[in-house]
Amino acid sequence: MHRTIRRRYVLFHLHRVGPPIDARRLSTAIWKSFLSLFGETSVADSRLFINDYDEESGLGILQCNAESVDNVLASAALLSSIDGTQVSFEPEQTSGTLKGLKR
Amino acid sequence: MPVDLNARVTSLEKMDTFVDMARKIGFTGLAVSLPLGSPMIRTDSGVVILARIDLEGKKLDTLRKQVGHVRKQSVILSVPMRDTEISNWAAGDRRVDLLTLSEPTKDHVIRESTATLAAEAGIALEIPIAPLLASSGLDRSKILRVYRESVTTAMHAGMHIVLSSGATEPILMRAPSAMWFVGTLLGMDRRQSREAAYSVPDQIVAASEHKMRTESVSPGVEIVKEDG
Repeated sequence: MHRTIRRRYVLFHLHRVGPPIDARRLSTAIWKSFLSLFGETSVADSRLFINDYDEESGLGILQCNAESVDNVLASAALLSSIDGTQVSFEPEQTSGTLKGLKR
Repeated sequence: MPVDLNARVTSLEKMDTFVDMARKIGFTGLAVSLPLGSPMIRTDSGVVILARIDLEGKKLDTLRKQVGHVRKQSVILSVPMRDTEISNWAAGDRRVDLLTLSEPTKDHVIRESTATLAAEAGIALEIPIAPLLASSGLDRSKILRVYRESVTTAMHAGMHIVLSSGATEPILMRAPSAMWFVGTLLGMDRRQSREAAYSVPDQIVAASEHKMRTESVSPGVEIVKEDG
């Protein structure tokens, strides 16, 4: 039987000191932090993905499944640096739809 | 009104960068361990800087003498948890605002008896998240164990919990919305964690302002002045 996956979309702001971080490196860093804190099965179930991201401003949108959102955001909050750039991840808004995020 | 109760600003020259970061990530207040000349300063950006003092003595008698002296100089008075005797004394002294888990790497968890005393006196358990940012792997899991165990004990005793940054650099500060989710990692549910990041720090500042205004003779005893 097909199970509907409930998604969550998170508008975030990545503050940084140092060169910009591209979406791929940010995504990998969150995955690694998530893996370290919660393990492989949690990562597999999370369906974590960065939808949209402006590396200059640090504003972006990530998506994941609804059950994983707290753990994904805790993992991102504990990131302190990515490839030598110090970062501070700030979740600004969470919604069940992309349209629900006010930009 | 979110307040970071523990920014480890090392010099007054760095204050502006901390205030700027605090404003960017949504804080309206920032408690710092620096001599400010006044317990509370409102900056042009609207962020309020609060004076914080961490009682650092090793002997109980020294700390007892210090607390009365420094209470009126600081909005936030914290006692780092390093010793059971000191922690138990602080947990019963209403002039103290916070018991801080300052050295999680040394396995200092809060005891049930201490948490019960602190809950009765309205003293909150402070959890700085800086050690979690500075560690990884097994080292971080040891810190998480100390924090999670302490959170469980504190919540069971009815003690309030405060999440603070403990940041030594502005970029190490975390937005209250980020600390909220770190709280869920420490064993709090969403509501408890949100309170620890948003409302409890604000309540502590309000209660502390009251303590500073009143004449506190001894723990729980105040001189009440009559009008006229």
